[in-house]
Amino acid sequence: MSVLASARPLATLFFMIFVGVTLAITLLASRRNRSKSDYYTASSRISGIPNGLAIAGDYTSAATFLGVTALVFSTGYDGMIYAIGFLVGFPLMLFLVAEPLRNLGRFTIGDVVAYRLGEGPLRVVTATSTVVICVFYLVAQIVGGGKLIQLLFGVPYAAAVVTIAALMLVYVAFGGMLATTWVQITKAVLLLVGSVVMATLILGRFGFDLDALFRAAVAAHPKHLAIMAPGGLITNAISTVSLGMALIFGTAGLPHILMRFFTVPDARQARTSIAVATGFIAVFYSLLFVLGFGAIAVIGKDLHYHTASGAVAGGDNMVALYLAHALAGAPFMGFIAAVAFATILAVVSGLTIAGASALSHDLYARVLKTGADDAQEVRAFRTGTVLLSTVAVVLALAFERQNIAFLVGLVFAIAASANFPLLILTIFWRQLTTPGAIAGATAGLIGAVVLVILSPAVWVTVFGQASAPFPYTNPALFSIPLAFVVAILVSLATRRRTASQTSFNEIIIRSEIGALRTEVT
Amino acid sequence: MTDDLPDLVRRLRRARLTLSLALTATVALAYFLYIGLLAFSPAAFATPLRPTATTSVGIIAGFAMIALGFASTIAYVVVANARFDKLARAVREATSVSA
Repeated sequence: MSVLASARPLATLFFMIFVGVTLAITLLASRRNRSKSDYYTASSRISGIPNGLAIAGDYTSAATFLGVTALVFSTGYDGMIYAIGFLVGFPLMLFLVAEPLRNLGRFTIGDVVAYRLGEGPLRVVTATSTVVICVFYLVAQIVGGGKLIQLLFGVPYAAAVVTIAALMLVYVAFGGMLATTWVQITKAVLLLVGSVVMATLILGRFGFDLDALFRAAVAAHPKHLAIMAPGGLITNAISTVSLGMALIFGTAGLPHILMRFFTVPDARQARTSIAVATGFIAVFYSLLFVLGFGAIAVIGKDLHYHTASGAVAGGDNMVALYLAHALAGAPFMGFIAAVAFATILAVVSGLTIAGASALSHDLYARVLKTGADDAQEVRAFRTGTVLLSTVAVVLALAFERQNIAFLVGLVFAIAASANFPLLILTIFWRQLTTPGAIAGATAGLIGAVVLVILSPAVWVTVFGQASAPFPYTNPALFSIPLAFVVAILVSLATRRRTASQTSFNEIIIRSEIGALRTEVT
Repeated sequence: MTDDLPDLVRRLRRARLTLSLALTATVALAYFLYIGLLAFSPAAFATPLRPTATTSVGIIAGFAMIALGFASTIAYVVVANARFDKLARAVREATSVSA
């Protein structure tokens, strides 16, 4: 623990600076925020490059930064499989949904669907899947973040959880989308700078020869040459393909990412955003791979960072931090620790704003109290933020000792099975009816949740049963087709009875040119 | 099905769909080929790049997959910026629907 203690003062200092800067941003933003569209989307005034950095900030969580590095450290090549799955979702999102979404929606994915189909029940469905995704993802981030901060800063777990939630509440409820965006951008830049510096220091040690780095890693790792090839992660072909589908289609259904297409003024800026985000993520994940192999070579055999039994002191998530320590000493480790904390804060803020918008815009203003004015909706948005933060804190405290590794897979599976099919059919399929859309999205949501509960990660690991009824790690291979089939069958069965709210031709025109978009009032 | 759509809109829609679907198919096929190879013949990925090298074929395949994801994104943006925006502007002027 002496390594940790040596980095603590500087980590705290860097973190205080980050909090100070982001609170100043929040204060400035709160003076400019007036209408609901300021809070939801910064009135769509963010241009492509900053928005792209913010998307990257939303997507690169502390779990991926520390988790992928740790995965490469312990398994070698397998870490790359995850990194690639996370990346490939981005081009697909650009090709299929980014521009139609920008052109059809204003604040939430509920807007896009409700513009074409019925208002009430569909808003309830999209808001439900959005809130479920945001709450599960929030809990996963806050539990992981709370434990990390407990370890790094030596504070009790409950205090760490409440600190994260309180800061996120302030950013979102007062700073709205404008402050959240700049928190994301600040964090994305810090994270990239930290990773570039670490990767450069590692490669410098090996004469900028990647093969020399791999040789050193192979020599240091107990599995030797096996780390250069796929191994333990690939135990079952169906699980692998299913996980791959969840990762690549789930990205295009994540509400906090999709919401970022409403913060730019037009389709061209939406495109630029994705290009910037994809470039950032491609570089970042490539660097993580270097960091992971660098960690094997540099600290794999260093007893400073291991317990007597040979495990990494404080858990595998500490690998990236110890690597920073080994490369450039305690001050640099303090910086990386502060970056990890900033990353947690930024991601949970993005999730909260997406969840709170679904509560206030889709549920409150369109279902519970239709005709609510702007001020009432902003109040509902703040109430939603408080509600989500409270629920997340309560669940994070309850799950402190639970194995919740399944939550991220579940989130991607729901996004891929409930939101993705609904958006694709809304944009591309003329015969979709309101009952078909409701049935399909509901089937995807319930199918994904039920199959995850029946899978080994929950049934065996959490409930302690001997074997799981659903043997695969991720349900996407089954729950995505289920959602499409149900939506299509129900639409065909109900097509005579229900007329679409808006003609599909109007949808086509608007999704292509966006010219019918009502201007922000 | 799209008979009553203005001709320009139909052209724009077709151009965009052709590009979107072609690129989606390319990236998805490459990805599932990569995943399929991983799942069914991991030994192929373990082969060293050269007899003397430690770097394996799998590492190069992984970086190539990342590069393909980024390159296809740039390809879409370049084509869309050059062609689609111009067509969309033409549609907007022709149908005189004001923004």
